[in-house]
Amino acid sequence: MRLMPEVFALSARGLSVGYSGRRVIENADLDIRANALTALIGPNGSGKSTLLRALANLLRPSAGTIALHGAPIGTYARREFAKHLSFLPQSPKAPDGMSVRDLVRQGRYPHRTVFTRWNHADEAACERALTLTGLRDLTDRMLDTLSGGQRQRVWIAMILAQEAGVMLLDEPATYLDIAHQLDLLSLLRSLARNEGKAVVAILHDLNHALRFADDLVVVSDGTVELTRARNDDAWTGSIAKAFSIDARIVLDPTDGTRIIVPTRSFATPLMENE
Amino acid sequence: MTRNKRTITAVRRDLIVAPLLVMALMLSAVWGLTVGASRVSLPAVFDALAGAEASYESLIVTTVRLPRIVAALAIGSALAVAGALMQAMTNNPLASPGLLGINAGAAFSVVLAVLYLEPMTGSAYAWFAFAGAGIAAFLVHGLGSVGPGGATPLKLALAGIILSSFIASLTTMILVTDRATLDVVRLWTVGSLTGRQIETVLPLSLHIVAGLAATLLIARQVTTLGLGPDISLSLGQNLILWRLICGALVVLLAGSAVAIAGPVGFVGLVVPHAARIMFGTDYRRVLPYSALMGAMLVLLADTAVRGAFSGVDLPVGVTMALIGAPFFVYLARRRLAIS
Repeated sequence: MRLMPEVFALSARGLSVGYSGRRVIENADLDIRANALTALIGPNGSGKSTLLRALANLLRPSAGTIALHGAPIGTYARREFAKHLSFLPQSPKAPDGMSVRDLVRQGRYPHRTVFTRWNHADEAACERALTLTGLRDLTDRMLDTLSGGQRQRVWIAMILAQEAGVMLLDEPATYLDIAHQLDLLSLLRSLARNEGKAVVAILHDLNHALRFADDLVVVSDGTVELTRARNDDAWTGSIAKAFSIDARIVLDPTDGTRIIVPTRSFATPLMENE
Repeated sequence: MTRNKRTITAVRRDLIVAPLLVMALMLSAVWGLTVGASRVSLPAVFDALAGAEASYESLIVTTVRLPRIVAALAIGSALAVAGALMQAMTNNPLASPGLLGINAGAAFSVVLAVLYLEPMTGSAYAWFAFAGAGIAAFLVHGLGSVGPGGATPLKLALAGIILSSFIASLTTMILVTDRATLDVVRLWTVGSLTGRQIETVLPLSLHIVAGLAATLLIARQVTTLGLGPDISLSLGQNLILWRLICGALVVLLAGSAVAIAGPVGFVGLVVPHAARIMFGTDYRRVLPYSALMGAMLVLLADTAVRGAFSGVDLPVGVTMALIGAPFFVYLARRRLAIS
């Protein structure tokens, strides 16, 4: 990996994506690196999910190219693509009456053909995924008996069992309580730093993004802006502008992390007098 | 008890429950051979099955009741498994051959064939049933996919309901204006097992057995399909291919069932739910248990009426509606309560 630092895990050039004529993302350039947690942030309806779905090859771009490990994603066979890139949609529905083990095993789908039997590599990948997500004690529990936070970990374990280098997650922390959110973000960061994954997640909480992410991608009004150095003043302005807010930045006295304190919205003029 | 024991107990449970179900099914089938307008004693049933001399009783058992029992088993398992497949492939807990118009399409096409073509053997009508079922499936999918968001579960269900009631009224329209056709198919259009001939039932049942076997072979793929299009696609599953395969199996199973007994509703809806509640979401379990439980349900529903009210012969489609409608209401309310 170190030999060819110019090959990004995932990169987009001139990317435009949209639904039935309406363009949501316009002419975006983007590079996602391995060993890093990249947070996708932006106001509602800015096209974060659309961008992520295009990167996951679930939505065909109207223009531009996406390359996975340097090769255009169109050159990958479906199964082969899934071995290199995994995607977790927003609040996936856990089928009732499925055990943790059964769902995690689904992650092995791209590694098996219709005729291959379950083998040691499959078993090892699942065990590893369960260990990394701290689910070993819950392996035989039914999904519907788990808390929201635990269930989200099971889905992450499933895409971990997929053993793809790139992991895309659509709002993995939404609907979790604060402890489970922090828990999940630490897990994602450690997957990036210790397992060498390129982890891309849409995050709603700006301060979580600032604290946990290595790279930030700000999506607003169809434009996509990547900010690499997070201790740089440049991004505060762009974030505030993207969210239509005035914001103050303070530093966490213990570790120097920047904390964004929104002070005023200028999204709706009606609120001006408040 | 540690939690690790749970999967072991699940497998152990299968080893007990599955043979018990098969045994119960066989006992019910034998019971079904004894009840009816005239009661036939157990020894006489066994004599008849063993091929004893042609007494009146053995004639009833082999020519009237045996085809009826075989038909009940075949259509019960076919409709239940078709329902389970449809629920997995559309991610729609309310999907079933009855609700999504497959049964109505098959029935309409068979009525057309009876009306306009030369009389043919029962199993030849199966091809019209397949065609009707397939066309209905395409129409419902097409209708349900119109508009933004593609074929959502709700739109698909609505399209199915609209199309089935439309096709059912067309069928009724033909029948009320054509006395002769009505006399031929009247009982059949509400779903009935009365008066089936073994020459018709047997080849159609073989279609069903082949469909069931193929379905069991692809059970693992069905489980992945059941996780929803986003996840199955990101796992690398060829969604179009596997949906087509499942769709073809649904048409084969539901079409054969309709060709045997007409459109029998609710089996395809109720049984897969019961199977999932009892045995989990892994389709390697859901599919075989649906087959067994579907066969059991239709057999019992058909036999119990004959056993309880001597001389009364309620079409099984009516019995199933009586059992299934309240369950459907319960299910819809439960789903609404959850979401």
